[in-house]
Amino acid sequence: MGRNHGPGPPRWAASLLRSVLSPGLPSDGILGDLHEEFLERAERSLTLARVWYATVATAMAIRFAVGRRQRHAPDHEGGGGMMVGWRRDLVYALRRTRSEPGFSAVLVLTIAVAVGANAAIFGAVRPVVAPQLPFPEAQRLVRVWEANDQRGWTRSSDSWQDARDWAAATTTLDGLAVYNTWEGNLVTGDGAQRIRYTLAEPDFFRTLGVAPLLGRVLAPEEIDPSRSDVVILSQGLWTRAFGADPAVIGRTVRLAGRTLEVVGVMPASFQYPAADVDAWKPWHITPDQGGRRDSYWVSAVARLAPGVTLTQAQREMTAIGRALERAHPDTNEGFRPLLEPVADVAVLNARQGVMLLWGAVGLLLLVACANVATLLLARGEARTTEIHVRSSLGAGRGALMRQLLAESLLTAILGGALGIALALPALNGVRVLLGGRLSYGLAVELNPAVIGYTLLVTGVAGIAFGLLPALRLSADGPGPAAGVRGSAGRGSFRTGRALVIAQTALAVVILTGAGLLGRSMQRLAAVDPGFALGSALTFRVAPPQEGMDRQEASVLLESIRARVAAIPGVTAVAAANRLPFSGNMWNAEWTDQARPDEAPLRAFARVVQPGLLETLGVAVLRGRALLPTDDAGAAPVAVVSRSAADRFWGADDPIGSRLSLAPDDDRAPWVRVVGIVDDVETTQLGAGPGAVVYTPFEQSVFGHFGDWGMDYVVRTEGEAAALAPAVRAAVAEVDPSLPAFDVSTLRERYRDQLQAPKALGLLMTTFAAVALLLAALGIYGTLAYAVARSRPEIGVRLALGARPSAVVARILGRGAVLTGVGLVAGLALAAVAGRWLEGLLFGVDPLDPVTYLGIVGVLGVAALAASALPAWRATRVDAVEALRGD
Amino acid sequence: MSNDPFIGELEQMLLLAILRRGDQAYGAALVRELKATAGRRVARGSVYVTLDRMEAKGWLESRASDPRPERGGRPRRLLRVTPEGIAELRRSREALLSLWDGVEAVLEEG
Repeated sequence: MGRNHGPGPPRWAASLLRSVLSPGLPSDGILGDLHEEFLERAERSLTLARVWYATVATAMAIRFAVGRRQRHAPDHEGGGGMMVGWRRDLVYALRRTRSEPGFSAVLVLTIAVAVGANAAIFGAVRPVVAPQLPFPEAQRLVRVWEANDQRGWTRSSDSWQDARDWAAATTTLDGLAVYNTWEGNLVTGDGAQRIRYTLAEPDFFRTLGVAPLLGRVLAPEEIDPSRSDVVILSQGLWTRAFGADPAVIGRTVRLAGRTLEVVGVMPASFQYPAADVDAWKPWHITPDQGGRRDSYWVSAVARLAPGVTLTQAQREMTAIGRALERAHPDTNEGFRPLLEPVADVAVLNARQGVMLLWGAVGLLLLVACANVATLLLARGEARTTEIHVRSSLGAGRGALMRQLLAESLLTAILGGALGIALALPALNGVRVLLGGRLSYGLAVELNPAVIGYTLLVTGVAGIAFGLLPALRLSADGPGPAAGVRGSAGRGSFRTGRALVIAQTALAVVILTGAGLLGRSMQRLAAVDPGFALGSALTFRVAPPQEGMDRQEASVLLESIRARVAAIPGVTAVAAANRLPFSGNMWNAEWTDQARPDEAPLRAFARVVQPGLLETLGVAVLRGRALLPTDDAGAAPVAVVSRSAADRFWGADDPIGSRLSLAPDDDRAPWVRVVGIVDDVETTQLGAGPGAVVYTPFEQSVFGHFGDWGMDYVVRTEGEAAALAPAVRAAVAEVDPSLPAFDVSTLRERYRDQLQAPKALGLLMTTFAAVALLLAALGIYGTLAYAVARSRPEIGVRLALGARPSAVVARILGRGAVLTGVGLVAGLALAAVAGRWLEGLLFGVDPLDPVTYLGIVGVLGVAALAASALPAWRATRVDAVEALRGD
Repeated sequence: MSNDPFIGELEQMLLLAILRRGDQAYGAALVRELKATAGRRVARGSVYVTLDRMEAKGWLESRASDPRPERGGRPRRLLRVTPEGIAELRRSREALLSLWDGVEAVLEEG
C-alpha cells in the first residue's frame, strides 16, 4: 500500500498549494476549506474526491503563483519588459485556446494522456532507479550470496559454515550477520496468530544500523543461549496485537512454543528482510545446528567497511572463497561468495518490467509530441494570414516565435495538470504490477519528486512540439497579406509528413512490445500446471517445531485431516510440506544404491500424507501411489515425478530402485521407488516441472524438509472459498493455539502466478492503443489537410472527367505510403529493441513472426480507417466552388 | 472619494454573501452561497484573491475560528464586513439605483 492512499486528500497537492501560500490565517482558511469539501465529496467517491482536490489545488496554486508574479512585475504601461511580453502572450494564448475549444481539447488530451502515463510509470521508476532505503548509509549494505558457475547458481542461500568462515577472515566487511526467517504461532492474551519472524545474530541490527522505535535492539551478550529468550516486535504487530501500548516493553509473549520477553519495537520503515516479517529473535546457533558445509539455507547481510569499495570487498571475498575451496574441495568446488548491494536486491524483481514501461511511455510521449506538432502545423497553415498581418505590422521573428511558443506551453501546462490527475488511477495499475516485488519498504507513490519530473517532462514536451511549428510558421516574414499561400505551406507540409512517419514508426515499436507480451501471456496461461484446479481450498498449519516429535505431529496432522474431511461438502483432504508454486524450497540429493559413484538425483523433496497426489489430481503413470499402509512400521517407499525418472534413470525403469539421502550413514534408510507420477509446475508457473521425490510423512525424518508446517488441499463440492470459515473452525477445534493461515483456493494460487505478467501486458497494451490512436489521428490530420490544400486541383480533375475512384485511390495511396514507410522503420526499430524484452517473454521469440504480421494487420486497418474519411471528402469536391473559394 | 472607481461585481457579490451568512461566513460557505443564491459558479482562486484584496483595502476583517477536525485541524477564516465595506456597498447601490431609475420599464417590455 502506498502511503499516499489514505482517506485524506492527496498530500502532494496540498503541499504544492501550501508552497505558494504564505503561512497564516488566509492559508489555513483555504486549505481547510478544501479539506472540508474534500471530505464531503469523499463520502460519495474517494477517487473522484482525490481527483477533484488535485485539480482544484493545482489550479489554485497556478493562480496564486501567477498573481504574485503580476504584483511583483514592474508596471510598464506600454509593455516592453520581457515578463510583461510573456504575460500578454499567455493571455492571448488563453483567449485562442478558448476560441477553438474542440481543437484545444484534442491537443490538451493528447498531452495529458502521455504525461499521465509518464507520471504514473515514473512513480515506479524512481524507487527502482534510485531506491531510498531506510538504513543509514544504505549504499554500504550488501547481501552476501553463494554463487557457483559450474552448477549455474547465481544467488543461492549461504552455507552456515562458509558464512562463519567468511566473517572470521574478512577485513573489508564491517560486520557480516547471518539470519533466517521462520513462521511461528504467536500467542498473546487474546488468541493465536501466525507470524513470520527472523532469527538474527546480534550483529544483524548493528550492521543495518536502524534505531528502535521503543526499547532496544539485540545486545551482543544475547548470543548466550541462556539469555536469548527476548523478542523485538515490528510496529505493525505492536499496533495489531498490543494496540500500540508503550508498556509492552517487559511483557511476555509465546512465540513458536517459547515464552519471550519483549525488549523493543522497530519502526514501520524497518522492513528487513521482508515487509511481512513481524518479529526478530536472537539466533544462537551451534556448529551442530549449522548443518553440513554443503547445506545452503541461511542468508547473510554485511556492511562495507568505511572507505572500502564494492570491488575491493568482492576481490577479498573471492580470495577467501578460493581458500575455502582448497580447504574443503569435496563440498566447496566452484563456490564463491558474491556481494550485491542491498539496494539492487530490493528492486531485483521489478527492474526489467519497470524499465520496459518507462521506455514505452517515453516513446508514447514522443508520439504525442509529434502528433501535436503535426496538428499545430496543419492549423498554422490556416493562420498564415494572421501571421503575415502581424509580421507586416512590425512584429519581429522573435516576437512571433514567442507568441507561438506561448500557445504550445499553455497547451503543455493544461495537459500536464490533467495528466497528473489521470496518473492517480494509473498508479494503482503500477502498484498491482509491482505488488510484493519491491523490498525493504520501497513504495510506489505520487510524491513531489514525481510531480517535479512530470513538470519537467511537460515543459520539455511543450517546447519540443511547439518549436518546430513555431520555426516553420514564423519563417515567412512579411508577405502577401491574404489569399495567396506563401512558401511556408509546402515546407510545413513536408515537415508534417515526416512527423507522421516518425509517430507511426514509434507507435509500431510500442505495439510490437505489447503484442509480444500479450502472446507471451497467452502462452503462459496455456501451460498445464499438472494438477486439477477445480474447486479446492488450501491452507497451512504449523505446530511449534520445538517440543514435538514425529509421532505427536503425525497424530495432530491426521486429526486435522479427519476433522476437515468431516465437513459437509468436502470430498478429499491431504497435506504436503509444500504445494506447487512454492518457489525453490527444499531441494535434496538422493543417491541410487545401484550407482553409488554417479552424481546423485537432485530433486525437490515433498513429504506428503497418503492421498495427497489423488487430491491434487496428479495422475499415477506407472506403479502405485503412496498408501495409508506406508506407515512408520512398513518398508520405506517413495514415488518420483516423470521428470525425475527421465532425467535420472533415462531409459531404465526407476521402479524398484533404492534411494538414500545419506548413503554413508548406516542408520539412514534406503527408500524403494514404487511409482512414477505425472509432472507438476513446481517452483512457479512456466518455470517447467521440477524433478520431485514424494515420501510419506510417517516414514520421513521429522522436520527435515520443513514438514512441521504442512499445506492442506481440500477438494470440495461447490464453491471452495465458501468453506473457509468451516475449515478455520475445524482446525481451531483440534488445537485453539494453532491457526489455519494462508487460506486461499487452488485457483487463486494459480491466478497469482499470472497477475504480474497480466498487469505488465495490460499497461503495455493500453499505451500501445493510445499510441495507435494518435498515429491514426496524425495520418488522418495530414491527409485531411492535404485534401483541403488541393481542393482546386481535385475539383478541376473531377470536372475534366477523372473518375472519383481514381481520386480516392490517390488519397489512399498517400496514406499507404506514409503508413508503409512508418511501418517498415518501426518494425526495424522494434527488432533492435526486442532484446529488451528477453527474460520477460515466455515461449515467444522477440522476433515472433505472428506478432509482427499482426502488427502489420492492425496498423493497416487503422491507417485505412484514418485515410477513408479524407478520401471520401475528396470525391465530394465541387470544381466551381473549389475554384471560387480560392 | 467620488473619483474612486466603483467596486467590482465579484467584490459586491462577495460582500453581500458575507452579510447573508452572518457569523458563518468563510471561503467554502461563500462559494456555496454564490452558487445557491446567485446561480454563479466562480473560480475558487478568484474568490480568495478578491477576499485578500478587500481585506487589504479595509472593507473586510477576518478572524480564526477554533481548529476543526473536518478541516484537517485547521481553523476557519471567518469574515466580517467593516463599516468601510458597508459604505462602499451603499455607494455602489445608490449609484446603481439612480441609474436604474426610469429604465425599469424598458426591461419589463422586453
